[in-house]
Amino acid sequence: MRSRRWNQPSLGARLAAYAGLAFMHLPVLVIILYAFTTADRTYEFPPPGLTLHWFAAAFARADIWEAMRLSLSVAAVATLLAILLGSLTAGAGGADGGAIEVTHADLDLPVESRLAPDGRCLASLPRGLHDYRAGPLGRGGVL
Amino acid sequence: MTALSTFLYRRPTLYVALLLIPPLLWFGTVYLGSLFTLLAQSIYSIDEFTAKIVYEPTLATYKQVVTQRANVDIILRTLSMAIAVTIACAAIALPIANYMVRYASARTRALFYVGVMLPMWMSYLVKVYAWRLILAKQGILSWLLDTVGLGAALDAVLRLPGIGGPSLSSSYLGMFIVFVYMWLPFMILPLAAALEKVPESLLQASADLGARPAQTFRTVTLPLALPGLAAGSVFTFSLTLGDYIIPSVVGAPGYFIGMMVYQQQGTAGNIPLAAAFSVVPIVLIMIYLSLAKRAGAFDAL
Repeated sequence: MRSRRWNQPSLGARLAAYAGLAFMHLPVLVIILYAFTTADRTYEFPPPGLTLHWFAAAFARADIWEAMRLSLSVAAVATLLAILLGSLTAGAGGADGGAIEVTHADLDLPVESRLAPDGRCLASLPRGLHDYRAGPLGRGGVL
Repeated sequence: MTALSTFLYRRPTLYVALLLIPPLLWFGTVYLGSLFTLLAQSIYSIDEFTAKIVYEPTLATYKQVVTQRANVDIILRTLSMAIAVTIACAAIALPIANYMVRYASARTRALFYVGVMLPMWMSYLVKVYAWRLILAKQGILSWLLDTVGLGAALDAVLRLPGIGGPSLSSSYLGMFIVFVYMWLPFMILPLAAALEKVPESLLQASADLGARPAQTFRTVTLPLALPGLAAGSVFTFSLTLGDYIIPSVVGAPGYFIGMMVYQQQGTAGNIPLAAAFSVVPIVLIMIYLSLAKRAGAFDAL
């Protein structure tokens, strides 16, 4: 038997949460439904009938394909640029020189070795002392 | 290559500087540069007769913004909408964030997170037009209310002065609903992040000491979640102040700050007035932030 948590949500709390979630998805369903409606001048609901006509009408237009191509290329360039700039910023935030920490947990005095990216051991110091040496933005730094 | 990485590893400051230069250049030129270029225009004015910009520093454009009745109305209309939207977003987001963080199982919590973020991945414009369909005169909402026999109640609400109108899609009430819908994820996510940090032991202690769940929520959870509420409300407040698409697709014909900026720099060609108008939300946000800070909203950060 699943153990009861010490606090259970009231019915009201549960309902409010699910109602909020439903509210956030209502328009998504509406757009999907209206893609199939046979009404073409009004926003009539419920739809008088269902049809696939609008997909054929949309894909038959040349300008749709041109717009999609342009959107995709702009999106690709923007994403690449954001990945590049974002990674640089994030890299600066956690700048460690790409060092790997190795902890010798089996020693009485815990010693950590810092390895440079090429595998050379840069320093073996008691744990904690590395942080005093790392730069202003290194581990234990402020950024 | 290894020589380079070792060289950089021994000079952390140089390494960090090299990493940060490209993003800072981008942020400085593309973002701040264009912003300040626009703001600099606000100290110029436009010649009434030739419609050309007069490049002499003056406060005339700002005076026009804060003294002309129509402009003050636009600012007040936008401000009251932003406040109402922020309050409603907080009221709807709190139960959702609290439930997903506090009560939901791991699976349900994942469902909620995806469910909150999913609408953000949809086209903004598509969602606005979807709401037009929902709120239209013979749209889904009026059909639903008619079916359950509440059609008369909707008509009564629409007859109310100020928020009413011929239909929901052409009233301030409808615009308010769409704004709340649009910015809800921006309130839920920071709020959930803040609620995650509230230690469960405090809630247990509160319950042990005899507080009812509602009491615990009001006196323990809410004060500790205040930074999240503040962060979320800055989003909803500023997004409402700057938006120009929702007021032009849904709602009553009155102008909003964003629409005014859009129109003045576009068709009207009055860049100084557009620039002066875009300073208004910045000032309002600053006032809002200082008020929130004074209320202690950031103390728990």
